[in-house]
Amino acid sequence: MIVASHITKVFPRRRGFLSRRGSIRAVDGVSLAIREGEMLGIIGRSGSGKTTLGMILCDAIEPTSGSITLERADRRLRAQMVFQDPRESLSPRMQVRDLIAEPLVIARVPQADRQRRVLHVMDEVQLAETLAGRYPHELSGGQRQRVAVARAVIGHPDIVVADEPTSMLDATVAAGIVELLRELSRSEGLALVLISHDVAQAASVCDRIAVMDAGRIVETGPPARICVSPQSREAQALVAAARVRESSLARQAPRSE
Amino acid sequence: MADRAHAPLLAVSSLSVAYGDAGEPAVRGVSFTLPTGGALGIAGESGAGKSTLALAILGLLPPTARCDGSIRIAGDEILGEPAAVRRLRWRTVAIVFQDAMSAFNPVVTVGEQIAEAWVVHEGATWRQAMGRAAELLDRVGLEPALVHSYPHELSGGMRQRAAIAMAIALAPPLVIVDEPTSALDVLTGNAIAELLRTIRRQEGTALLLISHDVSVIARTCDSAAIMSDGAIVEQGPAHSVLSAPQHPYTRRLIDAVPRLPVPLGGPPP
Repeated sequence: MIVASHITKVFPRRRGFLSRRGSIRAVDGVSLAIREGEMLGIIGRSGSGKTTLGMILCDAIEPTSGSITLERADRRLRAQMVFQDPRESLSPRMQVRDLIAEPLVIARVPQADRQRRVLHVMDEVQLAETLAGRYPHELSGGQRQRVAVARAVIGHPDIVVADEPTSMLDATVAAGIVELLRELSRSEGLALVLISHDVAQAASVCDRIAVMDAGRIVETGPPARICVSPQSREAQALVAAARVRESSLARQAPRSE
Repeated sequence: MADRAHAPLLAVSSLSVAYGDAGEPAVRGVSFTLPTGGALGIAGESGAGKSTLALAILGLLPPTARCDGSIRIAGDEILGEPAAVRRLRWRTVAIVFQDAMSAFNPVVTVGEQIAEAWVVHEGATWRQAMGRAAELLDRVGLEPALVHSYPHELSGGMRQRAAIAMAIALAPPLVIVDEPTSALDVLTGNAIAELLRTIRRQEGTALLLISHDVSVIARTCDSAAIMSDGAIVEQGPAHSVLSAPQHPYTRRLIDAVPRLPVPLGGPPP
């Protein structure tokens, strides 16, 4: 179990040029726990602090206060992140096999072992072996994001945080990526955090949803409960927005012109 | 010239566009018309040719692009007529780009960038024009005081509103909107869709809305065309295309929109 306690992150803010100094509390006293094999959705609108929290959960930035601990283990948490835009997170000069193997190189895994594990993880993320020699620009958006996922899971981390991993992808490809994350979370026993502004997307794959608003978690619960009877105003707003979108496509009767 | 008076605002016929000599066409044999005050949504996934189509209508294709067919705006042929397009741009046809940040000059205030339209095209004074910019911001749901802000000081949704204000400044009869919601969260995206509906209603602006999100098209447009691999596979009234699609590709696009795990009209709140 990964436990985050009383996480707060304060950024200095400078508006305009040398003026109106202040600070912004991006994450404000968040505590949560994620089990191995669990997929947790952190949802919220832009600016709610979900990306900052995600970066803290995977040790990409230090919290101002609070801590992340791995229960019943006296080692450091191993964490990986999957970013929005695989075009930016993958080096354009490296082949797929080297991109995926990189975390193992850093961990000094012997070469023979690396090759075997790369092929294994490529199979797991449903990338054809024939793509191993390609460069990122030769792949589709969905394939690039699968490479990013493969990189994230190959070193058997404790937790993977996927921050809006589908926002640059076509909707028909997006569903496949979030489903892949769910499968990996189950099969690898990974704690997986999906950060999304879309409650419907998170609800389609997550075991549990935490709703963020202004740096705080205002509500946590199973997806069906959040979607049927959201308690907080923010969850209500997010569910209503998804409902507006959905009902626009469900309309059967022609509108009167 | 009687024809021209009755010509549709935008008429694209048998348009094909290919990049380079050997390139596969990005747009193949596309035809549609958009009447004055109408709204047509073009849906499709990346690589479908939607953006190439928009650039062709704006006369912004690179010189290496080879075009065939016809694009008429208010009866005037603009394909291969760069001078004609320049005359029409902003006054007759304006665009709101997907990434509002890159559409703005980062070192000029939002108000000045909007006001420039009236100064350049109508000979207004900066003082008058800034006053009108503040009014226009109010009309698109922004604080008038934001005329003094720089683009980076606005949120993504605010920038998209400001970009819409800039596009409608000269009251063009046609506005092309390219992926207006794809960089925004669901709540902000809904608000922008609502704003586009309001602008249609209040200003009578015709919209050509390009989006991979069929739900935005369902909410803002009266007709829809579905593009795949450079061609339109299905087009017609938005409500029939999007609620009773005939083409399997249209069905896939609609099915890909994430649904809540509860049926609409399910358990009461």
